[in-house]
Amino acid sequence: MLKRGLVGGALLALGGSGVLVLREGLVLPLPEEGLRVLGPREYATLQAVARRAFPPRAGWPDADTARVAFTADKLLARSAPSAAKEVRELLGLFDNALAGLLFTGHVTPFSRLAPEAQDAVLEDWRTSRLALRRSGYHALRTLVYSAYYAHPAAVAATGFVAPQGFHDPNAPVWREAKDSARTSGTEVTP
Amino acid sequence: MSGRIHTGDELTEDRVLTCDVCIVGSGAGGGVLGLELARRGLDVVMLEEGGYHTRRDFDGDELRAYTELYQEQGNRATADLSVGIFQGRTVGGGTTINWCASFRTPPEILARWRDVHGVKGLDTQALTPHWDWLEERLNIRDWPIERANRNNQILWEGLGKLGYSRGTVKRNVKNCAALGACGLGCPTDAKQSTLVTLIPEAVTLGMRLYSNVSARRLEMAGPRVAAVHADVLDPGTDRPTGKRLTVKAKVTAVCGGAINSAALLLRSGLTGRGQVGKRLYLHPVVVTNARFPERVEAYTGAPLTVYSRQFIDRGPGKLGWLIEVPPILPLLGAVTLSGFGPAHQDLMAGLPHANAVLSICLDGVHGDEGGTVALRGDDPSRLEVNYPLEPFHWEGFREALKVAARIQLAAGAELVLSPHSDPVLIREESDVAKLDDAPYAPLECRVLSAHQMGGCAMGGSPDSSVVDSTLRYWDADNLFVVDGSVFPTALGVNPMETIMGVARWGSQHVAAAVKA
Ligand SMILES: Cc1cc2nc3c(=O)[nH]c(=O)nc-3n(C[C@H](O)[C@H](O)[C@H](O)COP(=O)(O)OP(=O)(O)OC[C@H]3O[C@@H](n4cnc5c(N)ncnc54)[C@H](O)[C@@H]3O)c2cc1C
Ligand code: SF4
Repeated sequence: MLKRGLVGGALLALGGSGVLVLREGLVLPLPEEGLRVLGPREYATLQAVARRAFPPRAGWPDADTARVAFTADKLLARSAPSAAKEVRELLGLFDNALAGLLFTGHVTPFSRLAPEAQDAVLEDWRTSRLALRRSGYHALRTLVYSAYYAHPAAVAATGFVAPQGFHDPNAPVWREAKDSARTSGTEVTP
Repeated sequence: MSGRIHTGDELTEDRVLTCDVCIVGSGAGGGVLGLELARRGLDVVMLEEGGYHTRRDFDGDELRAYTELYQEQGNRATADLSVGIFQGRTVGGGTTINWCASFRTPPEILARWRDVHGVKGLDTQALTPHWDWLEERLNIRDWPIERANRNNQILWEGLGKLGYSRGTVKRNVKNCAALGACGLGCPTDAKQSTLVTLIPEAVTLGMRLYSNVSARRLEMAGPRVAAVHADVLDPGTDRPTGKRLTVKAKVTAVCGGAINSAALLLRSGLTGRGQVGKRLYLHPVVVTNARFPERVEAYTGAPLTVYSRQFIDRGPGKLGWLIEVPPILPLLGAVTLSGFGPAHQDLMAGLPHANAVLSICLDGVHGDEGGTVALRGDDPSRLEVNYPLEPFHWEGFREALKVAARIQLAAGAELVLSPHSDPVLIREESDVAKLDDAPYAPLECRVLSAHQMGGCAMGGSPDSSVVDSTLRYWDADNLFVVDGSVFPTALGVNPMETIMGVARWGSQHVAAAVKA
C-alpha cells in the first residue's frame, strides 16, 4: 500500500523522541473483537480521519457506525506485514505533534484537533509540495474509503442494488475429473 | 497421471514433485499453456499463488473480491502511488476477474514487434488459427449494441454525435445474465475464464494445479532451471505456512503476469543482462466521471461492450488512446472518484446517475521506456514498480480528458468531473478548456492501470530483450516466459486475447524443449 518512498523519506526522521512527539492523541474504546495490526493510537487516528471523510449525513452510516478503522485493521492484517507496518508508521507521523508543528504550525496531535483544523491538515497533506505527503494522504484516503464502502449500509445508501438470486454459496466445487458429472456450469472435456 | 486442483490447506508437509513442465501462474498465459501441454500428453504441474476461488465464493462483496482475487488486495501501485494497478491473483488470474473484452492484436503492433524489436514468426497469419480456436472454445462473440447497458450506450451515442469511430466489443461469455459483476468473479460461470474452461480441461487431462503456492525462486544449475522453490500459503491469511513445495521439471514456464514474472526472475538472480524488469507498460488510464439526468446504473449489465480507437494514433511522439467505459461499483467508484468528505458523499449519492469514460493510453510505441520492476527488501511478496510519468504522458492524458468530456457532454451529461485531486467541473463545452489549466503531476491527477505488459520483453537480441522469438529466456535452455510480460510494447486494445493467442502459439516451443 505504501511504498518505500514514504517511509524511507526524511519525514519519518521526525519520529524521534521529544516532548511534542509524545503528546497524547485521541483515545477511543477499542473494538471488542480486538485489533490485529493497528495499535490503539493508530486506530484512533485512522478513525479520526474517517470521521472527517464521512461526517453525519441523513440516510448514511457515519464513520463510527461503519466501523471504518476496525475494517481497515482487518484489511491490513491480510497485507504484507511490511506494508502494514508502513501504514502504522504513516499514522504515527500523521498524528505526531512535532510533524504538525513543522508542517502546519499546530502542536496538537491531528486526532485531537477541532474538525475544521483536521480538514485543514488533510487539505494540507493533499496539496503538499512534498510528493511524500501527497502519497501519504492518498494512502490513508484509499484505506478509509475501501473500509467504509465495504459496509452494507454505505453500499445501500449509494442506491446500488446488488443482483439477487444468482450467487449459490453451495455450488459444487470442481477439483478433478471424477467430480465433473456433478458440476453443471463447468466446461469440462471428459 | 491423475490431475487435481490442490489448495494450500491440503499441503501439510514439504513436498517435492517431478514433472515435464512446471508452469508458474494460472492466468491468461498459464491457463492456455497448461491445456496445450496437457493435450500433448505432457505431465504438467501448475503453481498459483492466489487461492482456488469459484462461483460459490463470488458473492458480489467488493471488499472481499479485491482482497482475495487481486494482487496486493487491489492496492498494488507504483512506488510513489501515482498509478494504481489492478491485477488478478487467483486461479484463472486476470481472466477470472476481468471485464470480458476480447480483441485480436492490431496488425500494426505485431508489425512493430517485428520491425523495431526483432521478433520473428509472430504475425497475424501465425496467430489467426489460435485466435479462431480460442474464439470457438471460449465462445467469444460480439455483444450487439442493443444489449449494451446504458453506460455503454452513452459512449456509443457520444461517439456517434461527434462523428468518431465506434465499435462493439466481443466477449468471452456463455449465457451471460449481464449482472455487471465480472470484476468480482462471475457468480454464474457465464464468463469463459480459464478458471472454468481451459484449466478444468487441462486437469481432466492430468495437470496438477497447486493453488496458494507462491514460487519464490528458480534454482539454476548452469544454463538450466533445476528446481522451482515455492512457499505454501495459508488460504485464510495468505501468509506462508512454513511448508515448501519444490518442483523439479524438465522445463519451467513463468506465467506470473507482467510485474510478477519479472520479480520471480530477479529473485532468482536472473537479470537478463539487465533487461528483466525493464520496459514495463501499463496502458495508463485516465477516467472522466459524469452525472446524467437519467439513471445510468453503470454497475449493472455487461460492463464493457463499446469501444473507439479514433485517437489511438495521433502521430509520432504523441500518446494515443483507446476509449471504453468501466463498471462503476460502489467501492471501486469511491476509491477512484476524487474529493473528500461531503463533496465526495455528494458524488456517491449520485452513483445510479454516474457514467465514466476510460482513456486507455497506448504506451511503448513512441520510444517511451515505460516502467521498471525491482525487488524490495527481503520480503519476497513485495516488489517495487516505478513508472515515470513524463510531459509526453501528461499531454496525452490532458487531450484524452478533453475528448472524453466532450463525448459525455454530447451524450447529455449535466456535469463531468476530471480525475484531478481537486476535480475540474465541466458543465458545457466552454468549460472543457479548464482542463488545460489543471495540474498534471503525480497524485494531482489520478492514473490507473488494468493492463500490465512487458518486463520480460521478447525480441531479436539478448542485449535488448529477455526472451527470444520462441519465448525462451535467452540465457537458459529450459526456461520460458509465457504471459503478457513478453510484449515488447503495449497493444492499444485489451490484452487477454493477445496473451492467450501468443501462449497457444508459443506452446509448441515449450513442448519441443521437453524433448530436447
Ligand atoms: C479489473 C480488470 C479488468 C480487465 N478487463 C479486461 C478485459 O475486459 N479484456 C482484456 O483483454 N483484459 C482485461 N484485463 C486484463 C487481463 O485480465 C490481463 O491482461 C491478463 O489476465 C494477463 O494475463 P497474464 O497471463 O499475463 O497474467 P495473469 O492473468 O495476471 O495471471 C498471472 C497469474 O500468476 C500468478 N502468479 C504470479 N506470480 C506467481 C508466483 N510467483 N507463484 C505462483 N503464482 C504466481 C498470479 O497470482 C496470477 O493469477 C483486465 C484486468 C483487470 C484487473
Ligand atoms: S456480466 Fe455476465 S460474465 Fe459478467 S459477471 Fe455477470 S453473468 Fe458473469
